[in-house]
Amino acid sequence: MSLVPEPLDPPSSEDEAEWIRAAQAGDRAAFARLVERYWDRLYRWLYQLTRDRHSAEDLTQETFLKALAALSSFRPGSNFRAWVYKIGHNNFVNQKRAERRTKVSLPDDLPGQDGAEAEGQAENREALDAVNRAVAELPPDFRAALMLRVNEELSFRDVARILKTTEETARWRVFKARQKLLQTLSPELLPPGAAE
Amino acid sequence: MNCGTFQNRVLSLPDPRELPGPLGEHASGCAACSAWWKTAAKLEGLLAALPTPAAPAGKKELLLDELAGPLIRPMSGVARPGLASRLWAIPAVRTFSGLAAAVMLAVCGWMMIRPGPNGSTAEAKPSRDPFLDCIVQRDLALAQARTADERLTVLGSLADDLSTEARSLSKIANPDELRDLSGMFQKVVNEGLVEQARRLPEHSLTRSQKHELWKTLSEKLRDAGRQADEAAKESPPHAQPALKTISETARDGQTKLKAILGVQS
Amino acid sequence: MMRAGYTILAFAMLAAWAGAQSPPRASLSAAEQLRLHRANRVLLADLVDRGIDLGGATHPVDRAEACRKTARTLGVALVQAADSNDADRVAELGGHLETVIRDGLVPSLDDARRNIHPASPDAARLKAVRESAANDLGDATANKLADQPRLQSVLAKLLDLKEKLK
Repeated sequence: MSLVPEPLDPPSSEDEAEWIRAAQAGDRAAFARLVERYWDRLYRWLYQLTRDRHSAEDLTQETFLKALAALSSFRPGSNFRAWVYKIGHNNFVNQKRAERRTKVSLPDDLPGQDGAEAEGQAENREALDAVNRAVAELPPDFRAALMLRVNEELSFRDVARILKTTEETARWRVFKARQKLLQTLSPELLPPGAAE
Repeated sequence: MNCGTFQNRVLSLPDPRELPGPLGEHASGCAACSAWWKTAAKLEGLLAALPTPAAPAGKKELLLDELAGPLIRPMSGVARPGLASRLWAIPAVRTFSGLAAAVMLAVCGWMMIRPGPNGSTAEAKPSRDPFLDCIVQRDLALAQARTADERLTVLGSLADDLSTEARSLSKIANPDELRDLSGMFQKVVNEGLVEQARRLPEHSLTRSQKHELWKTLSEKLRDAGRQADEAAKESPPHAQPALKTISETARDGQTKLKAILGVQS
Repeated sequence: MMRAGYTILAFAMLAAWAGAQSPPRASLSAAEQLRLHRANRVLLADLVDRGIDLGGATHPVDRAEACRKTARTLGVALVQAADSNDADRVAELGGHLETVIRDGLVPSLDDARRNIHPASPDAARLKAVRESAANDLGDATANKLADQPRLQSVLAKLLDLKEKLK
């Protein structure tokens, strides 16, 4: 697995650049800061890919361990986030070959709301539930590209780099994912009185 | 632009919720596309709002804990062997952070580390360094020694302390640190023991005294070499050169001292 | 290089006081052992070198000079610890400095004085060693820590040691 990144977008902050430099010099606390910054977001994306929180958590851990091991190969000045996500995607692809995807519906233990908000929350939750099920039905490649774009707000170029494809293909996958979801979900997305 | 083109372009946008000029103009002029666009925008919002179930096993905290603390080389009965094994196996981590094993340090005989009041072995708060204590005491002993054989005996103990420290840290210290320790051991043996033995005035010690001195020093060096060899079997690869240096220096020192002190086999 | 001596003595005094407050000795974890080793790595190497010098110092004046250098090595580390506001380290190193001066340097200077003819060249060397040692310690004046009542007895002990170097 080649982990030598090509130049991508610049790092998000000077702090992060400093953490990376320190981590490459052996500072584990600096690497821990990077883990703090990206763990939850990476986990969220990997959950969307795997649809299984156990697998997603395992993959996230695996990703950071591999990132730590390969840290010396990361080129300072390039996009650390994209680099980590690329490792994560590679891990997912490797795991996908061996594991059967398990779909998980929305958890029942979402935080409760007070009476006035509960009604709106319930409608929203129904819509979210529907979207969740539909996303789970998307082909993994479409889902991966779509959620990188939606959750991480990465450019199509960065999405392409993470997924090891072309920018055009990345854009097309996001397009197809949205198109498929709209075809599936239009009725749910327009509950009576909720949309104009 | 026709409605099909409009919709395809919207779906290809980075964010369908934000319509650039030409697309916005079309939406303003077409009720069907406007309604469709609002649906697409709502979908985008719902996608961004999809909740993620909590990770079940707390592995983030586990990893952060491991990064914050010592890396524990997996031993039976030690918690979290899986992650520790993974971290230990990463060369970069081993090189710059070292591995911690449950190894107790016995330094200077009379400076054994004793368990705390509760018998706990939990990590101590910032404390005096017993090894530093030991080295200071050796220096004091050298300052107070009045005879050559006294000085040589203390130097032998100093060498022993250094080899013990190197062995104790061999599983957790980085190569530079271990190289420093083995270098100090080499200095004490070569520039201390061997050099001072060479400078002993011809008749400063009787034959019997020389033999006793040789016996004392030889024992210390033999033990240092043997224990370094044994430690090397259980230590990570990066510790091997330092332990080998100690082992070879100890054997070489024994040979030279034997010749210098004129001890017969 | 050594600072104005009052800094050394003031921190040595603080160190001795702080040392008395330290908790009972507990077993060292491997992590703590490594941490301490790293904190003291340079100092340990210097003290081992001093030990080799002491091991080769057969002449009383040479031995006194080697003791002085050992004390100075600890003093420099103590100043660095004080500059870093590391109270624990100051306490530890101050204790070692006091021990080396009291049990090593002062006796070696006294021993050399007893064994050297006052008119010999060695006497001049010994005088230089003694003066250097006294300069290394310096004066405990104009320091806010000197006003701490709890530290007065310790300060007095160190000043007494300094007097013995004269």
